[in-house]
Amino acid sequence: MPRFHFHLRAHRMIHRDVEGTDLPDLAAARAHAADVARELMAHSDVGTRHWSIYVEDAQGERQFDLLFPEVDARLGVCSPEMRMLAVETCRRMGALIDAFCAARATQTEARILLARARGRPQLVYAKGT
Amino acid sequence: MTNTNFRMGPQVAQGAAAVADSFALPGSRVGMRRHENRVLAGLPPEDLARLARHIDIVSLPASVARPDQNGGLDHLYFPHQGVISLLAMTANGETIEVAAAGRGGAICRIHASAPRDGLLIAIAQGPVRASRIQAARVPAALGESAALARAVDGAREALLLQLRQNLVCCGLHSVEHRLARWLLETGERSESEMIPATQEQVAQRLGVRRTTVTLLASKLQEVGAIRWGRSKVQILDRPRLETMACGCHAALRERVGALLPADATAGRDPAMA
Repeated sequence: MPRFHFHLRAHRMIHRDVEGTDLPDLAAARAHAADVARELMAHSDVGTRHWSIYVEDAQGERQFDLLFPEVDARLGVCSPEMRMLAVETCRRMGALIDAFCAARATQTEARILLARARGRPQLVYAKGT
Repeated sequence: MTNTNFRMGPQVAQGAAAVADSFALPGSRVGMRRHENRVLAGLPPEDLARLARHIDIVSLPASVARPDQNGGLDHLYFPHQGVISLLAMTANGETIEVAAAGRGGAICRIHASAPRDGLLIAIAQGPVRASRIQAARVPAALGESAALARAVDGAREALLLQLRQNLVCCGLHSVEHRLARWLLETGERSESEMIPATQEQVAQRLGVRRTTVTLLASKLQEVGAIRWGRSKVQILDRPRLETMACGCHAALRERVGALLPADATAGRDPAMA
């Protein structure tokens, strides 16, 4: 059974699911991601509406994105235009978090390289202190 | 009657010698030793001596709930260390924690008169050492000690308070708040900042998927509130965790505190049984 990892984009960060879950196929992974999104949204404030989950396979290949507004029952009372706007906002927030995290990773990498070049402990640089 | 609620066979020490052994508490004076479980510690020594023939002491291994487990509680448990959870289980194996008790409380049947509690099962949260009385012998034991009957009533009322609070919590609060609350309360019940728990076990207690717990645990770790290893959670910043928990934690602490015996030896807050 293939393994899938469900990473959460929330609060300008990516929270990684290192362990992963074994599921029969991609359709089961989509259903699992939707269930997790509903659990995280239940009784939460509307801030969770901007959250999303991106799913990778065991090789780290990105499979799909699950945007929370797509499965948010609270949006059922809104007009289709409003729902589309919520989905689009969530997609852009996700792209922003991806870019932000990539920039942070590059910064960390640069610090480590700098540390190596100067013969200093890498961890000190990696933490940015 | 056999114990069907724990995955591996518990190690049992029976009789008066075992009960005497459980009185070992560091620093206590000879002749004034208190029982490790505070419910039993509150009983008059003569009652405890009389009850010894009903009580055996077991070491219960940590386990996860399985769909094939029988409902019903075959024993009345008084934990010495660690926490025992009372889980409700649906027919297809989904679970949620109804109540729990550490050395400040007891795990008993919710309805004193009912022969079985249906889908309720008892599960050790990490390794647990406990005194226990077989369900069939409980009426005789309660008949022999009015103090025990009163103490068990108090412990049952504490479980019922938890059940009511958990109903409110599950129906109204986010899983993020519930996870913070569960960590705080389990730490208080086990009287330790180190909780033996995998994310799978915690998911079973909160009634959510393991992935949901993993993602929220990552958030709690990012803010420095906890550190979650392979099978242990360490609470690093309790005040921070309290701000992330729902109001149910404080509400329950206040109500349960009045029902259960205080810890006279360690000076700890007794509220979380």
